[in-house]
Amino acid sequence: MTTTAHAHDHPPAANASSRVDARLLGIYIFIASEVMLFGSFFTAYFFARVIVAPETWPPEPFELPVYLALLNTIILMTSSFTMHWALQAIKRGSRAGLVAGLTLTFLLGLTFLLIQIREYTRIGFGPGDLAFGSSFFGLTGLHGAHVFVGLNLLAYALVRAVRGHYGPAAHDHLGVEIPGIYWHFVDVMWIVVYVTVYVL
Amino acid sequence: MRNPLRTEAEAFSFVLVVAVLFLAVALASALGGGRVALAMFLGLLIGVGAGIFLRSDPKKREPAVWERPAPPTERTIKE
Repeated sequence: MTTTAHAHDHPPAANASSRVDARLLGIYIFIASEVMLFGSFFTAYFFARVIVAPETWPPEPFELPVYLALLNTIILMTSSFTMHWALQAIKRGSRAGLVAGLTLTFLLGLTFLLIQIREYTRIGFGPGDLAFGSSFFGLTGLHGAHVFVGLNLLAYALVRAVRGHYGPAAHDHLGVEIPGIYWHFVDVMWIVVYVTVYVL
Repeated sequence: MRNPLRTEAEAFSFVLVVAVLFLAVALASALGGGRVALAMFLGLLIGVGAGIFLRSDPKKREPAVWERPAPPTERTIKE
């Protein structure tokens, strides 16, 4: 039987009552809130599509670039693979693998965003064109904003990785693990958005 | 409910599972239309959810960063 004694020269560490690491708990709660935000946008989309129910969807004469968005989907899914590769590399102690994985993930995410922006300029309708336009730009624009945030996280992690701040121990690469979790969440949301908006 | 984004590795697995599920839904939509796709989605959602719940074994989970480092002033008394 063991007993833990604490020195009494200072109060106990704050925000340490949960078994879950505070930084991980933070990203879990943040992702949960963003899922609810996406849920509200999907609700608006389905209301416009199912309840209002125009004769055709997308309404005439609008069309969606399904295959361009499919290319974007492949790009973003590949970035999830490179992100996973980066984490696996640092767990093995490979700083070069971590830097390479993060760099590839960042470049793929940036490519996705640039293609999305180009798609916006050439799609032929705007957010003010019926509920279809506003729900389309709302959903895809919200996702694009999340990709932008993810790119910022990746850039910060990449700079720290180049400087050698990360190590194989779990506590030593939490600064990569958390952006990794967020990036996979962004990928999952895009898969849902793509299939719901472009395919179905 | 189990957190699918508990670690980066589990989040990556979740991406793959979601991709496969929604690919099945997209194929159902292409072959059978909207109602078939909706039925496929609901069926997969219930089936996969039940499978994960029934097969989940907390002892086999990859450990996340659960343990917080003990403060330097903490000491353990063994009795």
